[in-house]
Amino acid sequence: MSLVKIATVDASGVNNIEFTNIPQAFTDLMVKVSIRTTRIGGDPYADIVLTMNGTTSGYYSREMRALGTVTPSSSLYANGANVLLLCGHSSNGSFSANTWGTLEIYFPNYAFNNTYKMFGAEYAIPDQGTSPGSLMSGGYLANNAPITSIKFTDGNASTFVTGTTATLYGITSGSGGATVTTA
Amino acid sequence: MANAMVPIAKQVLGSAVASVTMSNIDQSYRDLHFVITGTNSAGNVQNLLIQLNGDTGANYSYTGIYIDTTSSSYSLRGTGTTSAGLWVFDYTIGTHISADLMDYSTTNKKKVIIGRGNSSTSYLDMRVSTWNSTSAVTSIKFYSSSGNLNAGTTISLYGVRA
Repeated sequence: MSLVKIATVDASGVNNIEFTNIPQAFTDLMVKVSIRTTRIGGDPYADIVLTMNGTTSGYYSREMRALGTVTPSSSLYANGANVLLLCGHSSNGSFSANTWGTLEIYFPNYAFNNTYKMFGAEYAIPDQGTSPGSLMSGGYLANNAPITSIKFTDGNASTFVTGTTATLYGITSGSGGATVTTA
Repeated sequence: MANAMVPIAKQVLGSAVASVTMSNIDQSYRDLHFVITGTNSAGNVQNLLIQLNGDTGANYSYTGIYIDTTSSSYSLRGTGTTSAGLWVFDYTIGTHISADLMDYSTTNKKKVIIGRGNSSTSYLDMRVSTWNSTSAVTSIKFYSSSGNLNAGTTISLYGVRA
């Protein structure tokens, strides 16, 4: 069994989700998040800030965006104190009700102590009107330390609404179903 | 979900090699999922390539989108290529590729690989490849478009149940 649920967080009414004391026995980590915030803005896109291990520098990331009717595949390159993921659905009444942003993010080799920590993510703001968003992101934290905590913070000074949840999974690789050779 | 994804094979390279092949793949799953991290030895950005069942002919096609270091975005496609995959494969800090090979054990469907990659040199890409064959996939070869797969490169293969 390679995919194991580690923890689920109900983030209703708070402004961050944090997994701490992450077990180090798995190969990779994956987090699935459903986010809607109390932000009221001119669009349905709410900022979510990702940090690891409480680190506040050394993040490198890129995001490919297809937002509403804007020309698809605009992008953002950022180096800095965190990673910005445009994956929350805001609560402006002009946009879809009962709709949450959805995020799946993957952390390979998170327990290694000799490599920078990479991540890759796919997410959506599934507004059913004229402003849906489809996005992907990738990057890394320039730090060799194993990932022991992952935090998602509301980036718009709002809070998460009831129903916002996140689940952390551990993934274990292994052998037995194929023959491996190198050349 | 607990038993839906099962580890099949794993390779962590202790030294640089030209290729990694996973063969005699268990045929009892619906899809294959693989995760690759690592670098190439060529000294510049390359592509991570895949060949199925040892087919080196011009029997693959691909399409994709990506962004590069200038924040420009592109789409691309190719037909009659000799490999699939083609995610950007880095040479410095690392690359992370996560992809699925759909319906790999069927004998009536051409085989499709869809996956996302990102590299430390700021490329971010999504690729879809097709192998123009309905044969069940029994082996997958992973290699770089130039240079070797460096030590530390990891490839993990999983079976996904329906």
